[in-house]
Amino acid sequence: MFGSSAAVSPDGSMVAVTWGLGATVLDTRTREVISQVTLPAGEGTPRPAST
Amino acid sequence: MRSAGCRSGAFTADGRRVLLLLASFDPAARGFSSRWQLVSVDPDRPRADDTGIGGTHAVPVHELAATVSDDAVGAVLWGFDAGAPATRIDLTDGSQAALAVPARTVESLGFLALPAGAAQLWADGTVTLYDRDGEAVQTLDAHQAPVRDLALSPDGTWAVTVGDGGAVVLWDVDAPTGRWSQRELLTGHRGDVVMAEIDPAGRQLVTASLDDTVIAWDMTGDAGFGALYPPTGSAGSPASRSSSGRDCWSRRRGRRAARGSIRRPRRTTRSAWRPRSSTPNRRAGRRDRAGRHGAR
Repeated sequence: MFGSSAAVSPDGSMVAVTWGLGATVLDTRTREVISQVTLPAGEGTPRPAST
Repeated sequence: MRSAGCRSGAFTADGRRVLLLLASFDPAARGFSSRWQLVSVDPDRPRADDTGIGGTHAVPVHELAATVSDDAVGAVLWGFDAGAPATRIDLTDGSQAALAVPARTVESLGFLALPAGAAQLWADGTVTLYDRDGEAVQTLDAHQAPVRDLALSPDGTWAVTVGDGGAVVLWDVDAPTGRWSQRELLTGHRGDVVMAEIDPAGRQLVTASLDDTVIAWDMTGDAGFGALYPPTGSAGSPASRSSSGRDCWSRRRGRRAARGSIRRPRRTTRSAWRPRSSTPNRRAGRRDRAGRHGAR
């Protein structure tokens, strides 16, 4: 149903990958997840999520 | 069908936040239009904040696509159905401008948000450029097959369009007028080119093709740039070099391509260049719809 997109930070240290119900920010050096934001299904209001 | 979700995103210029463009069902319009909203995320906390920028768009949410420009100052909303409205949004203040899309019988492959407006890619190889007010200001016709992607250099002085038939077209952009003029055709890919990216310094262009190659083009012309790609520790000389001094490296299926496995980049005139095929690639078409140029 959803596609995704990716954006790289200006200094190249992070990449943000959007997906259907949120976005995940990754460290491009370690490839670890820095943070993740998830949206409630069916709504447009974002909510913070755990790292 | 309620298919709310994140459509696109980009980092702010200082790299400290990510702007996300969200879409949701519009109950007031009983689904005939969508609500959209811009939120800001701090990667370090994490925390999502409403920017107060949002609105509605007259496309059902399950057909709504959107892209945010690389510098996070503009976005475009549109619908996949022919004739669906398209709107450019200034993300600094939320102002909107309807794009004056020309009436054409050709399939539109999607839009890209640019700092100074927007671009529309067409299946016949045409690219339509729009200004901030949504007016169509220029039509580019260098491609003779579907155009799949477009990238603008960070300083706004040059750009590249890529598409089917291995086409990689460089453009000069006149800063005062915003007019694009064709500079050069880069040859190297054997298959349809589906993605182009430019590094933040504007020194390197990377293009990806369905022939399983990625080519990094040295856009500076000086000899010292090639150390960036392939990665440190790999062999150091370029796979080929253009007559204009432009070096390139190629990767095929994760391995560095052997010398001579790609055609030598060269300066080519428009009249001498022909795409290998004018048939739209089905794989690329699906990818455009679901990925690069906006997600459903």
